[in-house]
Amino acid sequence: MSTEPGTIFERRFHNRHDDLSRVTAEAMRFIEARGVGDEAVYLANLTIEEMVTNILKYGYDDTAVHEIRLRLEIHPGTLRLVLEDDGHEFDPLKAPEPDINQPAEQRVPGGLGIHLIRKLSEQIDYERCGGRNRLTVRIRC
Amino acid sequence: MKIIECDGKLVCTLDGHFDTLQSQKLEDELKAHLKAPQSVVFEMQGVTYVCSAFLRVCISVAKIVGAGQFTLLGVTPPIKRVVKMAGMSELFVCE
Repeated sequence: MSTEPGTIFERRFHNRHDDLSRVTAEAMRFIEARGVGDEAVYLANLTIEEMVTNILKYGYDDTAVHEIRLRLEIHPGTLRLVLEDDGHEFDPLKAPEPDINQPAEQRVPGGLGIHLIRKLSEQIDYERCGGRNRLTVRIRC
Repeated sequence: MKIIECDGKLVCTLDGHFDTLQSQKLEDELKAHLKAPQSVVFEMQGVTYVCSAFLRVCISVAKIVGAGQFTLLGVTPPIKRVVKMAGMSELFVCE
């Protein structure tokens, strides 16, 4: 676990909700302190929460401790967020879109978090590398 | 979180950060109070963040009480944007 000064925030944490809450709060404090705007802070928070919650729910068949890596880079006009995990291979870009035009009674749960990140972020890239998922999300800031 | 039942209306005054865990707590609280037919209002002035788990709670409420009976009041612009992107502006009043 380490934090670099300046414009890069890095954490390695376990696949536990408490760890997710703690690291997300630290990450938000880091980017807020460096002048990242409210809208980008909100979206960064949403991205970390939605993507890591998916990893916690669906990424592992066991109850063992796994390591999740988060890196945030602040560039002029862009926030680059990278998440890595050793869970099941999962490309969110290939996940089916929820039908958001259905009335409430016909809505099915699931897929809404990924849908939001797709809609609100500038760019998403996914790769499977060395048995790990690597998701990179660019957010306008 | 404060939930008051009055004249067939359920008013939930919410504040803070509705992440996955907090949204789960809201859902559990609502289970004890929610019944159809009933109108439901979420007072959102103090809410600074919602995630998809909160939106799923809203869908559940809309399913139970029916269209037109569920209102979100005092929603901040960033949360309005998320509600709109989730295609939920048609499911309940959000103002």
